[in-house]
Amino acid sequence: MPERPELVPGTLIMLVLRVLQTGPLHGYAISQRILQVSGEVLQVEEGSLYPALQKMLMKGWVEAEWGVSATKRRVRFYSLTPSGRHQLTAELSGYNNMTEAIQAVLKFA
Amino acid sequence: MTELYRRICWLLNRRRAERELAEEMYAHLAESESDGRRNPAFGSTLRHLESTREVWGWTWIDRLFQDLSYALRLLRKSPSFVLTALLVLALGVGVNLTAFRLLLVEITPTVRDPDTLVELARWFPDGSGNTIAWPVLAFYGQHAHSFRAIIASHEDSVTFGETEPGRDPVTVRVNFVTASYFAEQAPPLIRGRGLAVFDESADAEPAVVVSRRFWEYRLAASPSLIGQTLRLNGKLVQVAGIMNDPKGRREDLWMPLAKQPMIVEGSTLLTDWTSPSVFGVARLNPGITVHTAEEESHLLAVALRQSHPEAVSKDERLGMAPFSSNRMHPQEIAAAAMAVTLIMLILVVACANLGSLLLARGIARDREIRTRLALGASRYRIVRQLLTESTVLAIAGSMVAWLLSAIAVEIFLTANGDPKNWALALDWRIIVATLATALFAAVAFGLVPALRLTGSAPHGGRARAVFLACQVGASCILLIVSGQLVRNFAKLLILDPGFDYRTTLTLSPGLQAHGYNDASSQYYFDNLLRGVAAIPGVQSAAVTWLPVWGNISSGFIDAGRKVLINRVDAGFFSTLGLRLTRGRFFNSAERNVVIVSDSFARWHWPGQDPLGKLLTNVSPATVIGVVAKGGSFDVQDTDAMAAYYPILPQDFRDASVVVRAFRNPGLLTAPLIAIARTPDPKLRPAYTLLSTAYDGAVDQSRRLVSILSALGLLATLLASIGLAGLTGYSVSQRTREIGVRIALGAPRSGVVRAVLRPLAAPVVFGITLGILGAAAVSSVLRHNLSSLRPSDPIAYLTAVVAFLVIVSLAVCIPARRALRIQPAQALRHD
Repeated sequence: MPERPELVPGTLIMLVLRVLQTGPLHGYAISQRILQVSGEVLQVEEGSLYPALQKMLMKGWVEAEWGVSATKRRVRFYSLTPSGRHQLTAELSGYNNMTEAIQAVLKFA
Repeated sequence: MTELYRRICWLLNRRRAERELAEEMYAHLAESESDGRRNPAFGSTLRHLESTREVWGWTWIDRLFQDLSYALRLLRKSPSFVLTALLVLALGVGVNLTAFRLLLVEITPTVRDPDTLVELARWFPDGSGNTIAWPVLAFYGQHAHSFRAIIASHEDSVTFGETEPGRDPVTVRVNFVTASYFAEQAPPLIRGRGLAVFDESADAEPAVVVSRRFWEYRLAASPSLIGQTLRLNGKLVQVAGIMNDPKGRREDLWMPLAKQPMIVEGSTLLTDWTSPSVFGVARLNPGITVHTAEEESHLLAVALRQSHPEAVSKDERLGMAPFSSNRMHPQEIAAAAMAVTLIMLILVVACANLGSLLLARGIARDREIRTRLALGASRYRIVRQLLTESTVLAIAGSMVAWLLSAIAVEIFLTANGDPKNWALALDWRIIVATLATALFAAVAFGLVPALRLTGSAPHGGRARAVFLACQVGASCILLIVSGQLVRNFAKLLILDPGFDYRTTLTLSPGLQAHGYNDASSQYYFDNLLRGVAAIPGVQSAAVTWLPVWGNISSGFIDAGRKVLINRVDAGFFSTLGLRLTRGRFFNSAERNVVIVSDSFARWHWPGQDPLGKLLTNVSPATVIGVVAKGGSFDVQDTDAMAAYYPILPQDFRDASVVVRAFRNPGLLTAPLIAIARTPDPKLRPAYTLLSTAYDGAVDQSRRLVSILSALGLLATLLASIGLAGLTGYSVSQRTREIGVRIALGAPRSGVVRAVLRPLAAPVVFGITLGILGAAAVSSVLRHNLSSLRPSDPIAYLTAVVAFLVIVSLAVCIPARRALRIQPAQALRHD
């Protein structure tokens, strides 16, 4: 099994927020969506996904609601709150600034 | 804020939240398995649950509960240690709390808004007086814009109840006050109403307010007292209310000042402009300073002098001092601070004591601590665990202390005759003080052992020595200081005022209150002396201006020290039995002579013969005699500096007679009162048996002595418990070594020496510290208690020897155990 690259620290919450932008998802679905969209590169471990989700619940960025998954299991669906959308915008712009800056250094240094 | 709200919600619903999380994570697992993507990284769900829970930031509560339950489990396992610790803490903290409570009782003001209340005095260019004639005070009250109200009070002794012929009347104290007293100054009423302005009008029924003490002791706390009538000096008055006792005062009843002449027949109190007889207190208007008010009173006095030149002297004005009965004087504050320091030392002893106990116990727990450290516990975690244990102990101990001190305060207040004050136990300051002391104690006795025990260095030795020296030092300070004070007061217990007080009584007819003038007073006393001398059982009688033991303030200042004065007739010295060391007594009608006490003679004319010298402090007078002791002024001071002058005509209005009986003076009271009332049935004479007064004064000192001794002994007891416990632990720790010594033939003395040697240095150091500390404390004490001797080597020596003896006894028990160690068993000891 090839070594998977580590998730860039501090980006997990941003990724989850972004994934939830399209609509409510349950925990497993969130990790699957990130995995698929990233082309099987970004694997989110449960040990980091659930603490992140709890933190987002605590901050009030997402809301949770019990529902039934496609495989008929009782799961919890997470959806963005208005303050979660704000947070996503803020994190995105911060991230963009950061990557541009890093790119600039890499290109012109 | 909303985040905090969500966190609290989570905490409150924590069980459900955790269950849901677990369900969710197992569902995740199941999904990924059915997807065929068994995630190898999925590890332990439990661990994930744990780390997810930490997000909410409440895990410290779990740890706290772990620590607490562990601490409780451990403490339950060693009941003897817990009992010792609780006892030591309860005593150490309890004494502090008790002192703090008593201080609170003392300083809590009972008067509303005390800052604008001032006590009035008359100031003249060459002196001052603290009483004012009522018409003068009323004049100031009417015209001064600085005052919102004035309060006048005047105390008289009156007889209470129906007095049958041949029985002693009960004398009670009535404070005649203006209605403003109840509006501005009085403590809260228990029942009924206070006196009001309408009670002062001429046609009002005479009303009386009863003190709580009087209600409880004299009237059996009768529930239906309001509206009933009492008989005072034979007059009927109606009870209007019952009032709490004003702090620090002993009054039985309050009546309107306007009714004073009705109760005290012939009194000219309300109309006499010249005899100062009421105490004045004023409530200043908002924004008025004392200075402004004094200036205004000066102008008013000038105006008053126009119409009543006899009422005020030239340049007289009112002086104003902060209302004092609610405040402690700076001296009292210093003394209280001193007492608090001494009492804090008890806490120091207790903490040092527990610290060394914990260290010793910790050494026994060494294996447990090392194991936990080896299993990966951080040092911080273990220190926290150990501190939790001490905190649990400290809080439990403080709770016991809180209860103990509540009981102690009640006992103290009851013994003192003060009202009960259970509510004080729930005062927030007491609760805070209890918790603060508990936490302080926990850190003080818990932190050092916890750090030493978890440290990597070989532990305990030095910290233990420091703890030991601390408790020995603090105990010594307490023992020495309390010993000194006890000796100081013990002198009072066996005091000799210089005359025989047991067969003497004084009788005050109270002529001034009944409107007598100088001539009629003198005439009255001439007759009275003749009548008294004729009573069988009377040895002699004399007239004195101030009653015996009734003067602690009248006098003058001579080179910084107070000299008390009295004016007496020629028979006073022989009646009282004062011993003359030089010169002679007064002849009758002699003027411009003075007899001084030996202490004053030595102060004023050191190394010279005082006889024939001129004393000019009051009015020029030649010294004709020296008495051995000035003990007739203040019962607390047998050797007061004093001067006796011949009695003057104007003194007779206030004068008393001193009567010496052949045997029992108590039998003389009825005939004396009868004779004193014969010329004028209006009079209500009051008598004092000097033996009663003496016992009262000594009783107070005896109580103080017992409290002080108890404190000193308590400290010593605590220190002994500590030393004995410590020796015991060191014996059990060194069992094997001692066994080897005994097996190798060490003599008994050698074994004991080996056990006690580690104690020697800290104990010697501690005692030295204690002696130095005690010297420092005593020098401060001397500042406040002038009667304390400069240095009292006997007190020091006794205290140190007593301490050593008690401690040796305490250490004996574990030392004996060391001697009984069997070598064969000892070698098997691990």
